[in-house]
Amino acid sequence: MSIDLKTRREFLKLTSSGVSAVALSSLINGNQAWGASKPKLHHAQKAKSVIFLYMSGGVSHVDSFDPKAALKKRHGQPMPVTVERTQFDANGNIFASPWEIGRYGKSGLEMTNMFPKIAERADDLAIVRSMTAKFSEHAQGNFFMHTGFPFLGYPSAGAWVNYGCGSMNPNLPGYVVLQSKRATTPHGGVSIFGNGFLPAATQGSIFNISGNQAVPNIAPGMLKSEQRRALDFIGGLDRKFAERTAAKDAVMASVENAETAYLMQEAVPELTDISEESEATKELYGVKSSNEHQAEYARQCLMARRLVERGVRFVELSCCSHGVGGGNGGNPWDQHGGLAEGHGKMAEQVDGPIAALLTDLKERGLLEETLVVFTGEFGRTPFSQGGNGRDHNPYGFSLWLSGGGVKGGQTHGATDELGYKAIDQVATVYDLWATVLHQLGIDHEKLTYRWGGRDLRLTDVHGEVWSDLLG
Amino acid sequence: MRVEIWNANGLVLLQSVGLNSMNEIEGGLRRFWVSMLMKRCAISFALAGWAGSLFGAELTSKEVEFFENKIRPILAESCYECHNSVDKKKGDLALDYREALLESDVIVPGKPEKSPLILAIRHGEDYEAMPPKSPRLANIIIKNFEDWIRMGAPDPRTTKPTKEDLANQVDWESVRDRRKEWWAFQPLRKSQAPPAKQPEWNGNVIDQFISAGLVKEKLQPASKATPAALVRRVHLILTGLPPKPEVVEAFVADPSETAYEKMVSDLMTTKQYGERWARYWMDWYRYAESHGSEGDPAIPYANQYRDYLVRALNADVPYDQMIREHLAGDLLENPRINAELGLNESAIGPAHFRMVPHGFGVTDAYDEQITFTDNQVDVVSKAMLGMTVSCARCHNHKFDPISQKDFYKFYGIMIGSRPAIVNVDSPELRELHRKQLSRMKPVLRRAFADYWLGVVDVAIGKLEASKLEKIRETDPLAAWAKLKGVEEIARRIADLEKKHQESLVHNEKTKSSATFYADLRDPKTYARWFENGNGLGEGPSGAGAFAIAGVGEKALTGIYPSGVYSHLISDKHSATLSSVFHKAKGDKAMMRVVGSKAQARFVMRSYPLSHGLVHPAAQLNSTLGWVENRKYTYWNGEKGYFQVNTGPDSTTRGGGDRSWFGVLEAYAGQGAMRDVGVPIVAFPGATEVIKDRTSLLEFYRTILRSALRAWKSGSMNDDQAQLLNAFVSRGFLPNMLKTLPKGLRAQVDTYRKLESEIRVPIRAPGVMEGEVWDQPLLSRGDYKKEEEPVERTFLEIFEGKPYSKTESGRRELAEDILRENNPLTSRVIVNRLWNHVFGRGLVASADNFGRLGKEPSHPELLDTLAINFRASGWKMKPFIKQLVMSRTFRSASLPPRANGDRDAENEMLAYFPPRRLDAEAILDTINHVATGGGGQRAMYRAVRRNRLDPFLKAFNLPIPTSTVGDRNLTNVPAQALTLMNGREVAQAARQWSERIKNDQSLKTPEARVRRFFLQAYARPPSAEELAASVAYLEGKVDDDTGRLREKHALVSASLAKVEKEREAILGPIRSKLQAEVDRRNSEAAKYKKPVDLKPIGRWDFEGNSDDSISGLKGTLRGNAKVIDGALHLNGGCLMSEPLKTNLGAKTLEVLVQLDKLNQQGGGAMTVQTVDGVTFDSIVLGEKDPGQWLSGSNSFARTEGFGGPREREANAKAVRIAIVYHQNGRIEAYRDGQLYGKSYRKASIHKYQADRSQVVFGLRHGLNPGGGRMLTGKIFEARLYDRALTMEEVAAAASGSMVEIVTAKMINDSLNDTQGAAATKLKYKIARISKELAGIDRELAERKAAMSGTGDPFYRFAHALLNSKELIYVH
Repeated sequence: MSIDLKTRREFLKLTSSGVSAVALSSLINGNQAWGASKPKLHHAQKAKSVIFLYMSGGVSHVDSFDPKAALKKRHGQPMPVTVERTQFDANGNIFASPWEIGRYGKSGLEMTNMFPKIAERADDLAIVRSMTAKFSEHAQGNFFMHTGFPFLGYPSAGAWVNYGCGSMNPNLPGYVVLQSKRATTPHGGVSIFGNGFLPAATQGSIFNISGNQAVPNIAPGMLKSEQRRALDFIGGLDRKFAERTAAKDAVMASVENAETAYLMQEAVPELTDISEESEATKELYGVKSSNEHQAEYARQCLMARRLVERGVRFVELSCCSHGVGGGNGGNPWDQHGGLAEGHGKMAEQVDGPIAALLTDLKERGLLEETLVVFTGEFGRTPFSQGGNGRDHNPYGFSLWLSGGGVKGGQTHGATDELGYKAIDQVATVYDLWATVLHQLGIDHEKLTYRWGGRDLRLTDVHGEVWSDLLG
Repeated sequence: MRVEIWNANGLVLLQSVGLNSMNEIEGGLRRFWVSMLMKRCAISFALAGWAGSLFGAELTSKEVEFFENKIRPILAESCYECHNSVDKKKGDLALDYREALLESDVIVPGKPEKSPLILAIRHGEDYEAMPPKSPRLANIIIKNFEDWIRMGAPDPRTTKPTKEDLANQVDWESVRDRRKEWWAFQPLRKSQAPPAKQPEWNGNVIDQFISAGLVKEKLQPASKATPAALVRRVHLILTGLPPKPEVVEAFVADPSETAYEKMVSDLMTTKQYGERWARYWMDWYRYAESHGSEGDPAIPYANQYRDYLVRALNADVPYDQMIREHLAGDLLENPRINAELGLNESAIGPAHFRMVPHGFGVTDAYDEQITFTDNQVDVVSKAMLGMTVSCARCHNHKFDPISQKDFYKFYGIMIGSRPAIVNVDSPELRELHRKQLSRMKPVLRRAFADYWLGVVDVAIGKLEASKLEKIRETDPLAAWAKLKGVEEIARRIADLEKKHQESLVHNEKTKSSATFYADLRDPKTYARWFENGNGLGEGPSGAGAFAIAGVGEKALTGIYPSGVYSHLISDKHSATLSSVFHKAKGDKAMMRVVGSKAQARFVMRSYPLSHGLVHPAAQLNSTLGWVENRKYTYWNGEKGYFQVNTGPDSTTRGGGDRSWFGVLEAYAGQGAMRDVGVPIVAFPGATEVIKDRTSLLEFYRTILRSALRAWKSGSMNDDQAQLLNAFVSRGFLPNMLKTLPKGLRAQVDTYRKLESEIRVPIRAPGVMEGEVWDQPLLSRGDYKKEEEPVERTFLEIFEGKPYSKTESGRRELAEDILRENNPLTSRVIVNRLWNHVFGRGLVASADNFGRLGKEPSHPELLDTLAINFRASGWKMKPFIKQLVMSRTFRSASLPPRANGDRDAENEMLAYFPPRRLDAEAILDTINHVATGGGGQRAMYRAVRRNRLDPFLKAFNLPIPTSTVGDRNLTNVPAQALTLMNGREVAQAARQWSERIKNDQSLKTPEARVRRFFLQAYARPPSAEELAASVAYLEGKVDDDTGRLREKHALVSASLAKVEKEREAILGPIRSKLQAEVDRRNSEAAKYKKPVDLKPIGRWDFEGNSDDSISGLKGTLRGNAKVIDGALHLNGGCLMSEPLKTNLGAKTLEVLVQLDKLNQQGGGAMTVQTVDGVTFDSIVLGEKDPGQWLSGSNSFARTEGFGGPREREANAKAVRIAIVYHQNGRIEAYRDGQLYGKSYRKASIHKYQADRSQVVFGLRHGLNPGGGRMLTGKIFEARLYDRALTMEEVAAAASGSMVEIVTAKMINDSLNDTQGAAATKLKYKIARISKELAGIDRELAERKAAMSGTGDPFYRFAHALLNSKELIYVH
């Protein structure tokens, strides 16, 4: 690119949105523009973006989207079937749900009253009740759910989506992970959002919307005016160096990056500022809720809509921890004890904001092209752990999809009578991503990347699209 | 949709392809079809012309041979799977016999260029690349196909094949043998290096081959690099650090061949050389110090491996030795000993096996084993062979001649060893004083026996007088404790006897039906277990074994029954002992053990981590007994082994110095083993002799005496050993060092002195030999489908011998990897080293020499180097020297103009390829120029998987998962941010600029700039650069402080205006309320006597944030606001001007209301030094939730008061006072009442006038943020320069009785209109305040910038550290 740097700066300064957009994209994409050539889709695209509501720690499906009347009837009785190894090996008897079962929406979807506001959107939800995972430990579960492999080094689904679909708005990062004060990285660390072997451009960039440094090192270390003078001086040295070496292009690209970084220092704070949203919108999401956890999650939901609106392919949200019954920063839904209190607080935190997100997306006509996915890394056991908690259960759990060409008000698969194991239309994470990719116009078997001598896929060598859920 | 496809005779073969059937055709093939359709006419004509030859003519034997050798195998291997007439006909295309092939119209006999098949395998435009998801077929194969079609496509396959026919045609052996033809598997071929024309390109084979390549491609070589460029380049390549200016100057002055060679030799003898090259090895073997996953558990002692690499590379240990050490360094007959450090270096080599990622608390142990073993196989095969053996886990390799069996051979070799912590001390240290100490022990035993025989009566006397509470019934001395005062002793003795016999019978019975039982006292059993470390001897010890304590008051640690003990010489010795695998069945797994700080575990499938849940480890204690593994039932059906290890040898934790264990038995099965112990009835004659307490005591006397005699003569039995131990451990027989007779004490002291010279061993992660393991092949990689075990041996293409049945096979694997018939190993390593010198390997895919890798750019050169490398003893240093001595290396880094755009990738090396430095070299370079050499290098930074170093990660530090021979060098703005705003560069710039600034020899700006340049770039600045630099260095900072101040005034004014508007609404209401409150207060005041306590500061927040007594101005930071007579903190704080007086004894008093009670660590009122470091503060909940606390720097003056948890301060304001007495005593009051207990921890801190200040809302520091903020309101605060008395505090607190007008009261009194208006204004105020805070921040930044970062030298250093030339090697 041979635009005169000064001109380019001025050009970018003309529009404030332009500044933030170009700058942020470059943070991720660099100047060796990956995604410059638009990848070819395999078929027509239904969804353009994905919002991934990740419920780290494991939501109890039998208390929410896969309610089981039998639990109440058989409360206190031993499990009638052999119980697989659990992570804590403190298995109790069948444990009735503290929540009430009901039917919601025109479709009469069955769920409990744990998420009353999401339940009001029942006709927009397609619930998969036969999910399974291979790991009953958080970090492996998180990696597995995100990458299809149980440990670090493989690309996250968000990275694959960006690799496969290309950039919708070259001015924004394609995969954004939202975090806030009480909402942090799940167990396993940030590699869960990594690009693995895919181009660095595809990795998830974490925006901490509570802190003043949404991106590391974004706060200038010196006066802006002085920094400008420094960059001009450095640029002069660099250009002369570039002339003396065969690595000219690389050097100049990195000069460009310094300019971009300079602009980002203002752009990032601007992008994460929601003050321009109307009061009604803020009210809808609950960003000023007196429940601070809920307010934080509401801000993430609102930010998710803003990002999707601006063409971010994949936005992932993180839950805030209440620190109840084993649930901590990395795994807030992990109620090995205090299920009623912990899940109650967690549900209260996300219920309103998520329902608002669905409503808002729909009202803006965005839900049709945005696929919302709600899932944890596994479910929880129908029997108790200790007195009032539930252990991890990877053998059967629920997730739901909404929007993005998915038909709401229906279910896929089923668990057994007690909700312990998936028995009908058994579903896997590979199926989830095959379906998500399918809606994005990608054949999951064809989205490959050669690394270490293998053509690797997000779905490894598995994956069936849940075609019955598609509209 | 209607589509017609025509065959040669013009018949319609396929009609009416509906939309559905079109969709069924695979997406890719659809394009294939479409393109065929496009060319329909051509095909028809062509086919018509050749029809006769295809259908009628007899094939010649030559034609048949051609087809069978060149065509059929390829069709079978690459096409039949998807295109056959039996079970899969993708795209309606079958290629498995002549008729089907012709029907499919993919070939045009005679016209290869018109044949879709050819176009597809050529990957032609508009054609789906075939075979799919595979590399393009080799050119020779494509040519064969073209020739074949040109011949008329002679095809002897006249009949439709059956399923069996198809299977036979793709048998593995033929596929494998065909794949073996790939270049990488061909033997090394020595070629004569062609002589070059110019003399400077002659002599070094590298230059001759490179020169020949350039000549062949008609490329000009670049001229030589300048001496200055070369000196920097060779430094960076060899050491990863830039040269020092004096070195540059010297070489520029004398750039002779001799000087260059000397410089290279010198560099290769520096420690920095090893550090640089070790980091590459760390990439190859995915070095990490933690396992990742939940909790990111550490790999104990991992950094030993890193340091080992540095030493080995510096010592130029040959590569073959390194391979032997990496695979089997612990098993080598002649290990490499480092006498200086007392290390067995070789034994550290296998540490990389342990750098695998592990899941946390896995519930599926087999799956975990497969995952981590796969990782080991992957890394070993890639790093050493450039092969992806782990791709063959589920099926034969897709592209390379590696079978699924090959994978399971490697798997068995890996699993035959077990994760362990390895003692890597030199044999000499491992054995230090062992002989002498062993010789001393019988002497000591006899001496102790003699001594104690003389004091038996004393011992019995002590027993008689003892209470022996909480004694186990099975203890030999229990009878004395339990039978005390019991009349029917005989009956009780009989009971005891009955119980004892029952226990013995029970245990025998339980053992007989055990799932697993091992009696380690039996030498034959012990020999079947696997041991590691230097603590365990040749066999089990007999009864009476004892240990002398190395430290402490006691002489003996214990006297033991027969068993296996790790500490009989010293408890610093290391030890791990483990059993064979067994499949868990039953409800108990137990070991009969004793020990200190040691662990016993049941290890599932070699999973090395333990935690409290499903992989528990039992801690051993000093009472011998059965210890249970709690989760045996849970693991029923899975395989595991027993293991006991000393504490520092725990694969989970490591650490510690002295630890020991003894182990006697291991059992698993249904039902528990009982601790039989040694009750008195175990001793012969007990039942007959013991009639009453007197006879009991006599019995003790008798058996103790005979035990001592037996011990002395070495003929003791187990019961006697435990009896003796019972007397010794309780001190009935004197065991305290100081009470021993002089002679005996001297002997013990001698023992101790020698023992003290034994060091705590150096340990490293590693493996120990375990059960020899032929792993069953897992069908499709699924462990639920185990097939026949696969015998361990090397990759089948190399036709090695089966491996030993008594060892894991690691030693043999090392030899096979190094065997001469295997050309991979030497090619891979010379290519790796070449890659790190030239930035690109002769084979560009350094980690993959298989079919998906690249072919060499200079095959003859590669082979010649590989042969020479091997022949000259696998020495890496001379090889790297040969590379950097080459003319090729010494070329300039710019392409000669004459070459134009040809060879843009510079594969032929016409010039030296410039490139960005890797992460470590960048950081090292920055720190090197900053410090002038010195400081810790980046390669020593911790590599924790879940918290990789952010700086290094930004510059492409690899995620440690698998072998990385060639790092990515991406270019993203995050890197610019790291350099521009990051801590590392700022710190370096400060150091560097200070150094140059303080250098008195540099008098002028020009001289300083020259020095900066020389240090950064190893060259002086050009005239132009010098001028620009001096101008920059002397330039003025663009100071817009004035403008900002104006803006500040403006915004302040508008804030005042809005506040006034709001006050206009609230004011009248407040006045009204105030009047009422005043009336009530004065009513209340009638009963109180006002006292003047003479505070030196008072804050009432009436319209300002200043101290109303001494007039200290306050500055609001963050969102803090003063509203309605209260300081609203909102995450902000208030900071006063510096105090005008010194402050020793003092009292802080604050009236505070909290937003919420569950805050942690926020400060209500603080006195601190103005740097925010030293402080005393009224803090909530920093140590215990909800408790008030006197906070101080690093808790220097802090202890909890232990007062009640605050439960009211959210509903009402509370008055907290903390009194600091001159003598350091600190006491607290809440609402005038003493709060908790006062204490004295340290002396008082004296705060200096002008250098201390008062802060509200922030525990301490300079800026709001972190966990130091209190949220709530402060209504009033006072500071006293003395310690108030209790009465005075109470008097001051009576102020809390004074009612005040609260915001809530005002709010409640507003009508709706007023309320709405006030709220609107409130938000407006908040918004303007935020803006104001922003300006404040900017002003503060400017202030800071002018004082610190505004220093011109700093700015200049920072700029150079951000320049690209610094981070490029060129």
